[in-house]
Amino acid sequence: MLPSTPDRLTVLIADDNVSDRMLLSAIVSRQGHDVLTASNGAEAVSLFERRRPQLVLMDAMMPVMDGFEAARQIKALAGDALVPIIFLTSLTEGEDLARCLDAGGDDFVAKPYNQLVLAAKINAMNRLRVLQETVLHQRDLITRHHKYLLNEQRVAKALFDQIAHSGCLSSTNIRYLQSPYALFNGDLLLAAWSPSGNMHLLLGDFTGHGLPAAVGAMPLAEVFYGMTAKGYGLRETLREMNAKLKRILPVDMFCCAALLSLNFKQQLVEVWNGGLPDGYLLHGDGRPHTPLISSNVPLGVLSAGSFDDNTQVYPFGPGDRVFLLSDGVVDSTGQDGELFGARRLQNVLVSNRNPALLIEEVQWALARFNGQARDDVSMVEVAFTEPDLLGPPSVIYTDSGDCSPLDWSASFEYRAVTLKRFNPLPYLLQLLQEVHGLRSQSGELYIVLSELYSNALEHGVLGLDSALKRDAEGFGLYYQQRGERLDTLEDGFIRIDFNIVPAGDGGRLTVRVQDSGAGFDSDRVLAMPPATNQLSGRGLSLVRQLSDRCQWSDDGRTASVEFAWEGLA
Amino acid sequence: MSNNPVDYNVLSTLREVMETEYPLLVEVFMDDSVTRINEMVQLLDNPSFSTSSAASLENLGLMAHSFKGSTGNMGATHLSELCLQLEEQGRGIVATDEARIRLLVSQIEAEFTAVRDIFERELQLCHAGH
Amino acid sequence: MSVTSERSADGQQLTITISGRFDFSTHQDFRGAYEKETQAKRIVVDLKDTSYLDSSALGMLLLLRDHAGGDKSDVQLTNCNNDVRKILEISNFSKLFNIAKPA
Repeated sequence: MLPSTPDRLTVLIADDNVSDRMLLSAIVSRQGHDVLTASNGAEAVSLFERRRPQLVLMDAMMPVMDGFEAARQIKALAGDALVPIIFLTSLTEGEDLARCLDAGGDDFVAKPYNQLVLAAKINAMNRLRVLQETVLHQRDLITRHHKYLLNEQRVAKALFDQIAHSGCLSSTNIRYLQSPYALFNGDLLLAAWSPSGNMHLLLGDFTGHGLPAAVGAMPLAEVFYGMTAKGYGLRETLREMNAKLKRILPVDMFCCAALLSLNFKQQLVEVWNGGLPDGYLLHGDGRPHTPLISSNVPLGVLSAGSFDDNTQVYPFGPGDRVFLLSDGVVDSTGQDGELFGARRLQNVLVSNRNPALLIEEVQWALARFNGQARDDVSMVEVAFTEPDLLGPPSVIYTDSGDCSPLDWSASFEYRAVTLKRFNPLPYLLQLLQEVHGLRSQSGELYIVLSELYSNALEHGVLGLDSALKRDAEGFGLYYQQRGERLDTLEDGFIRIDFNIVPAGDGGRLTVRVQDSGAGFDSDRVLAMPPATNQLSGRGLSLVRQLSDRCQWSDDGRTASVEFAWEGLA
Repeated sequence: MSNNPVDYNVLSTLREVMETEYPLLVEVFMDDSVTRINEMVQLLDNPSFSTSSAASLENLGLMAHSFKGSTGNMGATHLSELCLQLEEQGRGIVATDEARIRLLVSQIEAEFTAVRDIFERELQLCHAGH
Repeated sequence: MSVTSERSADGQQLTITISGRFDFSTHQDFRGAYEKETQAKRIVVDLKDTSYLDSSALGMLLLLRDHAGGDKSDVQLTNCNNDVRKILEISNFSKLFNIAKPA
């Protein structure tokens, strides 16, 4: 009894000899298969095309078209699918047998036919056929899924781009490199103007790949853009971003990030780095670069109570640049598994002569090192630029303008405990923007308010001496003292009064800012020449420049400024 | 002539495989064989046949090859062996010798006669219900 | 890459040892090592045979810390080689885990 085969196949038998054909048909039928017969190669090919059998038994020598040519044509017709062809041959020379296999034959069986051998070979070939079928099926499934995934990513990216469009990455003082797949590697680069003309910049690296990494980017971008536009500082923005990510991301997901607040008017940069490799502050005067070290836990890990929003502040003036990078750069591995590392990167920084080529030079160094570009390499370089050359975009409002409050006053008093952690400026600016006439000056308003507030806080309440900010070392000391004194503050206040009155078709805003400090000689400070190398004292001239009228009370503890506007068209 | 023109083990396997179609197989084989042998004889009798003609030698070789196959499958072992020798002549695997070729063809004719006798007896046995 | 775990005699400490690359493929095994643990007050992760940590490994450590009580947890990372130490340093994980000094 012949062993029965599990599948019922359709087998094509091509043999020019009638009795051989009969015999073979009987043998194969008894194994449980359906049989098609052809008496020459051409018939075999045509029958194959019409009926698509799963397996072919092919005689080598046939008239009209021999088995070799028929095998070639059938294999071509079969395409990706495996249709096993077993040659039937009484050829014995090795060369002839090799010819069978070269023509596309998968095996051969000798005449006279041994039905056991034939059965075994048919079963073996069938196993291979089924295997190939499975592989093709899985390949098609994978291709289909891949298309869905790509489409989902397209949608996610389109959504994200809607949020990201409000940024200022195209600003002329920013150069950057990001792969088109950056979003799906979790790499994020955002830049935006604050109302006071500062530039906030974020380079982020979410854990994971694909959509999970990309999806975290959207709420983060919303917070970043929203708060920056309202005038919040880096620290508040950081606290909010951390809280948001902590809330929405699963425990094992987080975002390594570096944030910058570049103040071109005061020539300083504020930096926070949590989990990214060292960034670098590149000095235009030939001093060695200053590393911007990661001293914080990445965003989304710590609860609000434990989150450290402390930033470092450095002088940042003409010729200076900040360079940030994601870990794809330093983690690139070379041929022998060695890492590119910070030292090689620093070599590139040191030997760079043309600043415009820095990012390219890093890329070349990476390519030389490992020859294989990674798609998660992100780099950004921001250069100092004169404030007049750049500008925040105009703010867009959505209300109709009919309900503008035109005759009112308000007073606020912020005392010690509040001064430690709360920045009142965004709220106050929002309030003033209810007055439509003031909107076109909101940039100037914000700058002036920020100036007066920070003078009141730092010089008035905290008693800091801005003469310290003469050099880089003094800078560090000044901000250290600021932090210490703010932490230990127990008494003190800042009062802010607004008074809005109509004037002709327009109106006038008077702002008074009063602090509890020792006061200062405003006349003396204003009389000082606006030396471009001095890091202090510029604030007051700026205030005078931007407002319509400003004056200080005799003891210097109260500043009063005015803004006026004409009637709107 | 050989002692045993047809291998009885092969026959019994054929009977088992073909079942009711066994007589048909035998008849088909015999008719086909007669045709093939006539073809071979006619090829040799044709005045244009010459051992220096590559085409006629190749033709002869193919005929012998094919007949070798079917006779082998039917258990006519000695007949199949003769066909192999003729094939070797036709395909130039051995040195071509016209006298040898003609001898082989007449040996094939003779051996087939013996084989045919045996198969005719087989048919009679089948029709008698064995 | 393999994960093994051992409880101290008094049941107060669970030591999880990782060898090989600590990456995403370790996920299941690592989790299995501490998931059912309720008694141990302190968990020690021994990284002496760990050649490499990636960001998903950092994520797994965070999951462990969360399971062990979050801010109230006592999780120690020991026997970190230089590469592992450097990675932990950049993410400032010393603020979350007790990282043992090199021997």
